[in-house]
Amino acid sequence: MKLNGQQHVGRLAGIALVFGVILFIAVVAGISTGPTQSGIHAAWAALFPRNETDLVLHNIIWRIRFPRVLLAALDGAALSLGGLVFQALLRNPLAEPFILGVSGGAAIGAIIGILAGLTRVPGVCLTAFVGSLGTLALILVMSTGKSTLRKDALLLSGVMVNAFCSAIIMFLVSITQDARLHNIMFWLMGDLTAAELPQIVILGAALVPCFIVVFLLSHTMNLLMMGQDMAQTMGVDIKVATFTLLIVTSFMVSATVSFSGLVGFVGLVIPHLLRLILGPDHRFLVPACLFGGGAYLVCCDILARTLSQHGEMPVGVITAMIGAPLFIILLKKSSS
Amino acid sequence: MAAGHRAYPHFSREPVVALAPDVVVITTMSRSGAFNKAKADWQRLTHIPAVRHNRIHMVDSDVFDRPSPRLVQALEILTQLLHPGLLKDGP
Repeated sequence: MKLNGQQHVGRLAGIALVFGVILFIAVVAGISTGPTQSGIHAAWAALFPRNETDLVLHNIIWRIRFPRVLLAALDGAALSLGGLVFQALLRNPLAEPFILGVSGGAAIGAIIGILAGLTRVPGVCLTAFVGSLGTLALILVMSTGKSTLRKDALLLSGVMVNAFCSAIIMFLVSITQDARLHNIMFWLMGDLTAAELPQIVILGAALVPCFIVVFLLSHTMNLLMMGQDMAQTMGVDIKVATFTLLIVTSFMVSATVSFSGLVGFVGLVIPHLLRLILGPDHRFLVPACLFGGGAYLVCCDILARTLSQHGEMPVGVITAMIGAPLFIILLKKSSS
Repeated sequence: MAAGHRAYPHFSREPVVALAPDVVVITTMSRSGAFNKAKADWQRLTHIPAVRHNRIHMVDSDVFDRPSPRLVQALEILTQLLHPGLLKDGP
């Protein structure tokens, strides 16, 4: 479908509006849902507390639920965009930060940062970034040879990178008695409870410029999907574009990992779902992934908080339960 | 004591805040100022009696969390924290 400039802007605005509204509804649902008291009315009453009961809910909503929902929305947006960028750059529909092992590398970096006693911002974020760049370099080296351009080879190398990262993480956890790592198992499956509002605001301030860069490069991603030769003839500086996208994506993923651990498969589910609805044009997919990914992780987190009667579960359990079967279906479809 | 319908209930943070505990006992946070940070977090929740009466306590995780004869010592400490004055000699 060929769109002129005005139609393009109209469609972009429409998509941003629809997915923005979906995200808003998810956020409202996330704030009004919890093990203690649920419902929009209760949440609304808690905004302006008039008595002691309202004050309790006021504290719960603003100090516990709201930071968590905000973190989920930011994480979901960053991870979905990460998946979308990796799928475009590697021209592999199954590429995703978690599956490729980039998240695992960031986790190693984050744990080293935690053990070194660094603060989360910027210390742990930076060590996580270095870790993710390390695994990314490894993946790129493995996928540049002609023989490894095949989908399954890239996935297999991702599985191996992941296994290696898990081993290193377990090694680091085993050799330390540090109490700071006692929650590590929870963190490894994705934990949205840790952060507080000021830190999340910093995360948002770091991620929003990344979102803008990816959006500005969305047309370039369209051209890259057509093949490197084609992109070059269309005037794309492939090296600069690829380098920028990879660095920005690694940064987004590592910032996410250092705040909330390993949340897998978000970058697989959302880009695929949105491609089915909106088609392959990245200029529309980027904003849709941004809002849609945020809404998706907020909804997964609602399930993680409410499904169990006895406490809560890591959000990564839910995303993996949805994402892993989808991954198998996509793999089966792409090989047949 | 966090009591419930079942033994050893698991709590996430939200039900704890909703239950408004009289005393908060925190273990395993002795290193690098983690307890002070956790205590500061709790102190912002002004509706909780434990905060109002300054009854947020840290205990040594080595004594409390390890199954050893020292658990008796842990019990004495806990009694002192929950019912100050009950044990005349103190822990």
